[in-house]
Formats: sequence, C-alpha cells, structure tokens
Amino acid sequence: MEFDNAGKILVVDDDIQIANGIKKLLEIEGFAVKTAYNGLDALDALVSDDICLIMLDVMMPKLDGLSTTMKIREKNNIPIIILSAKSEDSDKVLGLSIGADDYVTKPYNPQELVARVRSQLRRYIHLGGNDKEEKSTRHVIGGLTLERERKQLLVDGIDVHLTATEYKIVELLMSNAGIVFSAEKIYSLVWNEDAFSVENTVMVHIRRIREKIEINPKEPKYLKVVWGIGYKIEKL
Amino acid sequence: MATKLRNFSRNIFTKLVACLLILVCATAVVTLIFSAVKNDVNFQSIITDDILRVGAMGLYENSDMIYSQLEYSDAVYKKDLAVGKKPEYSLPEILNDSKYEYYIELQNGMKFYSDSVDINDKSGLFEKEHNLVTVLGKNLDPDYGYGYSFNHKNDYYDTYNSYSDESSFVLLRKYGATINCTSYESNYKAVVVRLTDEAYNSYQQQWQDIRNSALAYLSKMLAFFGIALGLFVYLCLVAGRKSGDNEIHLNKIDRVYTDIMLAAGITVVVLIVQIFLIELFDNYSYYYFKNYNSQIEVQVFVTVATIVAVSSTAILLTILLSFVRKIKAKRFIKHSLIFCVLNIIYKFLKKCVNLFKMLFDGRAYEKFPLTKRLFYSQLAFIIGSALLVFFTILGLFVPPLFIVPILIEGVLIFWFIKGNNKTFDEINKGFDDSLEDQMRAERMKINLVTNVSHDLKTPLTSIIGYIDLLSKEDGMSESAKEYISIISDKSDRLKHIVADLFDIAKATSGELPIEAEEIDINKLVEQTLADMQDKVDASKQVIKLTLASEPIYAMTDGKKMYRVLQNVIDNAIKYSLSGTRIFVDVSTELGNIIISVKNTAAYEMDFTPFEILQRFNRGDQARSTEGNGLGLSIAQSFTDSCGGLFDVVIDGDQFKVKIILKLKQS
Repeated sequence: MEFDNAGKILVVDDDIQIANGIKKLLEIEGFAVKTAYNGLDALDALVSDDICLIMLDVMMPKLDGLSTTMKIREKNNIPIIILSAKSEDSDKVLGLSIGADDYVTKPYNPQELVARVRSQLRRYIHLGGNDKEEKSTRHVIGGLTLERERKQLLVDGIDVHLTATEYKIVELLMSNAGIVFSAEKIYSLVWNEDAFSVENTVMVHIRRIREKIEINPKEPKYLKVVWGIGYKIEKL
Repeated sequence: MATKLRNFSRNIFTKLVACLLILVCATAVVTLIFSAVKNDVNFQSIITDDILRVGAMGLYENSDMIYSQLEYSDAVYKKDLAVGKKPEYSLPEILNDSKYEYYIELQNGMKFYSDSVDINDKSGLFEKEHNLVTVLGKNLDPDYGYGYSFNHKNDYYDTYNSYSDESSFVLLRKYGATINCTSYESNYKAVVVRLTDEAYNSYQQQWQDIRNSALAYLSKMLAFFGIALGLFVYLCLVAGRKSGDNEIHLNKIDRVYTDIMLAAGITVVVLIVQIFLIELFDNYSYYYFKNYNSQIEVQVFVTVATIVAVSSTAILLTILLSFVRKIKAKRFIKHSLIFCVLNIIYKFLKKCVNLFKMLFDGRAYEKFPLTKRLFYSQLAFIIGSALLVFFTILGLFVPPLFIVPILIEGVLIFWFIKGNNKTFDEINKGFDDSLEDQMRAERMKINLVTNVSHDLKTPLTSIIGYIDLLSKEDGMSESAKEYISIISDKSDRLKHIVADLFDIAKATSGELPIEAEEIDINKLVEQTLADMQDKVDASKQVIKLTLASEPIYAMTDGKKMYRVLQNVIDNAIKYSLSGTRIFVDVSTELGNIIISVKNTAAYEMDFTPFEILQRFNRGDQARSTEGNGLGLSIAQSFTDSCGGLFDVVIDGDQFKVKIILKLKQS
C-alpha cells in the first residue's frame, strides 16, 4: 500500500476507548498504529518507535496536548494532528500556531479523519523537502501546490482537475494569499467582464473548487468565505 | 330586556332628546314668567287664602287693588300711623259705609246695632240718648284730642299708645272685631265694627281669583321644572356611559379644567340673576314692561331675554353634566387648574426635599463601612466649614480674633483630606479584591461550559468512532446493517445538537467572542443564499430576494451573522408549505438595517413568537421533521451577541423573522 514503509502512527488520548477506536480505524485503512494515553508516554514512544505521524488529544493528564506539541516541535517536524473537543476558532488558531499541522474537532467524522491523516502523510513522505526547485513557477500553500507552467493544482501531491475558470480563481487567490476578494472583483478579473449580480456565479465556482481541494468542504481549510466581504485563500 | 333598555337609555340620540326637552321646559318656564308679569300675577298671594291675613303678612305692598277698598283695615291705619300721620278716616265715615256693620255698646251693657241706629239722625233713639251721640262723635274724632290706638288683643296688631292709656281702639276683623272707644266720660263701652258678610265674601272672592291664577301659573311652572329636573336626573345617571361597556367616557368638553368651567357656570348664573331678578323686576323695568307691553321694544326685550335664558340653561346643563361625568370618573378635583398647579408645586417641592434628603441622607451607606466613613466625614466637614465661616464673619468685628476660625478651618481641611485618602486606599484595595473574585467566578463559568461540553463530546466521539468500526465489520445481517446506519444517523444528529447547545451556552453566558468588522449586509445575504443553493434547489420552495439599492455596511461579526441567516433561511425552507415563496428582504430604515425573511407555514402555527424562540421548541409539536429546535434560538442569541435585534412576527400562516442591525454611516 501507499504508506507501507512509512512507520507507525502514534495516537495519544487519555480516553482509552477513543484511542483504541482510532487505532482500529487506522489499522483497517492499512496503517501501523501505536497508542499512548498521555503526553509523557507520547514523548517516550516517539523515541522508542519509528513514528511518522502523531495524533494528539489536548486535554490529557501529566502533559497536555499543546505542551506535548511544543516539546515535539523543539527537535522534530513530523506531522501533528490535534484531535480535541475544544472547537472554538481561538483553540484551532492556537493549536495551529504552536506547530500542529491540522486540527480536528471531536466528535470527528471517521472518514474525514482518515483523509486528513493521508493528506498529512502524503505531504510529509512524498513532498517533504523537495519544494525548493522551480520556485518561480510553483506556488505552495500548505498542501496546495500551484504548478503555473502546467496550469495544474496539486493537493497533497495529487493533481486535481480544475476547469479553466476554477484554475484562474485558485491562481488569483493563491498568488494573493490572505487578501480578500469580493465576488465582483473575482468576476471582473477572471471573466474579464463587468460584474453585475455575480455572487451566485462566483459562489458556485468556489463551492466546486472546495469540493475538489478540501477534505471537508463544509469546514474549509484553504478556500474560505469572509462573510459579508468576499473570498480568500488563507496564508499558511 | 334590561340590556336593551340600557342600550336605549345610553344611546346618544336618547340623551340628545332629553337635553332638547330640558331646553323646551326652560323656554316654557321663562315664557310663563313673562306672561305672569304681563298679567300682573301676584305670586305672594299663594301664601294665604284668607284676605284678612293679607295685611298682617305685609302682602299689601304689591297689590293695591283690594286695599283701596279695605281702607279701614288696621293695615292702613298702621301704615299711616307709622309715618306719623293722623288717620285719614274718622270712625263716623266707617259707620256710614255700607260695607261695615257695627253696634255701640253702652256702659250699662245696652247695644245699639247699625241696622237700628242712624248715627247722623239726631232724632229717634239718638235724640233721646243725645249725650251718647255727642260723645260718640267727639270722641271718635282724632282731632278732638283723643287718639286711636291698637290694643294688643289679637296677634295681628301692634300696640299704639300715643295720647292716653285710657283711649284705645281695637279693630278686630270679622269674627267679632271690636273697636273699643273709651274716654274719661265713658258713657259707652265700645263701638264694635265689622265687615258685612257680603263685603267680606266679595273681597275674599277677588283674593281667591288672584290666588288661583297665581297657583295655576305656579303649578305649570313646577310641572315643567319637575319634568326638567327628572330629565336632568336621568342625564346625570347616564352621563359618561356608553352602551356596550361599563367604562366612563369623557367628552372633549371635559378637557376644560373644572375650575374654569365652574367660573363659566357662575358667570352664567350671575348673568341670569342680573337679567331676570334685577333688570326685569326692578321698578323701572317692571312698570315699563307692565304699562307698555304692547310696544315693540318690550317684545324684543322678551325675545332676547328668553334666548339668553334658554342658552344659559343649555350652557349650565353642559357644565353640570360635565361635572357629573368628571365626578363619576373621579377626576373632578384632579382635573382642575388649581389642583394641577398645586400638584406641580407639590412635586417640585417634593423633588427639592428629596434632593436635600439625598444630599444629607447617609442611610444608603450604612452597609458599606468605607463609604459610610467618607459620607460622615464629608458631612462633618461641610457643617464644620459652615460654622467656621459664620464665626469668621463674627470675628471680623473683633479684628485679631478672625484668624482663629481660619486656622481651625486649615486643620479641618488637613484632617478631611488625610482621612479621605486613607479611605480611598482601602476602597481601591476592596475593589481590586472583588474584581479578582468576579474574574474567578467568570473563569469558573467558562470552565463549566467547556468541561460540560468536553464531557458530552468525549463519549460521543467513542460512539461515532465505534459505530464506524462496527459498520466495517464483515458478515453482518442486512437488518444489523440497517440498525447501524440508523444509530449512525442519530449519533450524527446528537453531535449537531451538542455543538448547537455549546454555541447557545456560550452566547447566552456572554462568552461568545465577537469579531466585528465592516461588512456589506447585501453581500452577506447573497453569499448565504449562494452557499445554501443546493438546499434551496432540493426543496420545493422559491426564494425571492430583494436587496437594498446600494451597499449597506454594518459593524458586526460576519461569521455569526452567517449562522443567523443560515438558521433562519433553513428554518423557512424546512417549515414552508410546499411550492410557496420565501421572501428575503434587505432594507434600511432610520439608521437601521432590516433583514426580513417571510414564509408561509405548512401547518397551523398555534404558538406565540415568544414560545418559538424558547429552546427546543419546534414549529411542529410532533417533532417529526429534521431539526432540533435550537435553530431560531441560536439565531436569536447570536444576533443579540452581535448587537442586533431578533424579532419574530406571526400573522396567520405568515411567519416572519426580522433581524435589525445598526447601519454604519460611511
């Protein structure tokens, strides 16, 4: 399988059933899994085993998930997915800013979880480190890679098929990452026509792009709606 | 029946008819009065039916008709004597008048009756009794030196004793009237004079005629007055009432202050008195009216006076009925200018007193030792300073001494500031402590919400995870797979409910972080609808969107408002009658942005807007449809948190949600 020799996934959760449930789920998907029940055990396991991805709960005894993340990031850059019952935006921002690669809220959707694990592994194993060449024609934001020459968009290394318009929108937003574009602006720049009552048209395209590039289109990681203003691709 | 009667009696037309009838009665009474004056009706005659009592009761003054013929009544004498004149008539003349009969009684008891004695005939009996005639003639003539006087022998007469005690007359009337004529010669005892029965009857008949005519007038007037009074009582009873309810209704005229109305009423009364009792009945008008009553001026006067009287009656009636209504409504006193003015003064004084009390009332600080100390030291400072100012002024008269109060004031200020600063420090410390406590409590509350949410989510995570694993197991029967899919669906729903509950808990505890930025509400609505496009397409409803003509900006949290709109539109789609339209309108009004979502419900809405906004309440009580009943509740909490207003209006089958946000003026 794709990740056969990748190493083990470390699942850390103080709730044994949850940890074992995830272990089982990932094993069914073909991954090797090791479990730990607190942060300290997790750090030990990181040393003793060949770990390729860590899935961390936040609220844990002994050492909580955020501290563990910071500890790991001191010397290791393996993918960390935080899995937490804390669902506030501020919690997500905090988790991602201290070094986590992804943030999944409990109760999680099993399929989504698996997809996120795959996404992180793909990036870590297949793409890790070789994004230095052809810098000018290639634009990378998180798992998204825009290949300008081939007019391709790679999501975690896999080519997604975008229509010409969709590609133009993604290109516009990615090259201006973090900047919010109104629907009119997008329309006039992409379609090269005067914009009039175009919210729907643009939104339809945005939704289609999301379905192609996001793991969970309802909680997009990259392509976000800024309500009442416009659309943007987050700068990661 | 009773209701019918009540409705009739309270009918405005019935009342109007009663008013008109009262005015007709007033007109009748006034007309009767004029007619009475014109016909010279003597209303005083009503007092007695006996002509002989008339003089005694002082009634002769207005009616000279009879008295000209009753010259010899005591009244005439009395009148003449009272002004110091001698009587105009002497007894012999009475004795010659056929209206009187008399007899002469001698000392020896002999009586000579008028039909047998001719007083002027000096032959016959009187020739024989010459002495008597002479004496009679002499002694009855006032010029002869002996006066007349009236002995107090009857209630009707005063005593008059001018010349001597011995000589006196007493003129009694019918029923044995006597004239006592006595002299020092006293050959006779008395001359008794009385009216003849015919004369008396004739006078009495005339008096009766006068009296009957007066009575007829009076009874007519009383009848009209009685009718008017009865109608007035009826009007008083129904005043302010309307058919259909038991409230008191005030008229427009009742807005006039009571005392102003009272002044108007008194003016009208004075006017009537002036016209009728003084102008009309003073001597000049009276005679003028009586003697020239055929002239046009008199008729004009009568007409004008009648109109004035009737219109004053109308005005008085209006005023009195207004009073009755006000009394019924218990506003008679309250709604007077004097009361209002006094009330304003009273309130003002009360405010002043309260202000004064507030300044010097330390009770509010009793529970707080620190502020209590501040308050009393301030009070002591003010009183002390006031006293010192007083003493300083006193000290000005004794030059070196005025330094003393100033020095004491300095000490007082020092003590005041020092004490206060100490108290301020203590207050600050206490304030910090309580702020700390409050923060701790606040943190505990947040932790509680977070912990409960965590405790709910953790088992749910296991449930969802293991259901997924279970569904991947091989060799399960079809029914087992079906059950698992149901559990899976339901646990998903549970997940949404928990998330919603968490949102509500945060929003209502004020812990929802709001990231306000300037957003275009038009755009927000468009984006939301575009985002929900597939849901709308899947339903049978059509969305009709009307946006404001130009971009409208609000400072609010776009994400939260998106949730609000999403929930509201979702709700509209879910509970709308199939095939109906959902109207989404965005407009501005008086500095506000109004987003309204209207839909036609698919079922009868037997709940109030308040009930539907309660948590877990759902449009359909059977709860057969999707949804957890938190949607509108979340929308409301979020709108509140974003500083907006969330309103639900139910009108028949129309369900309307109104979201009001402050417009940001650019």
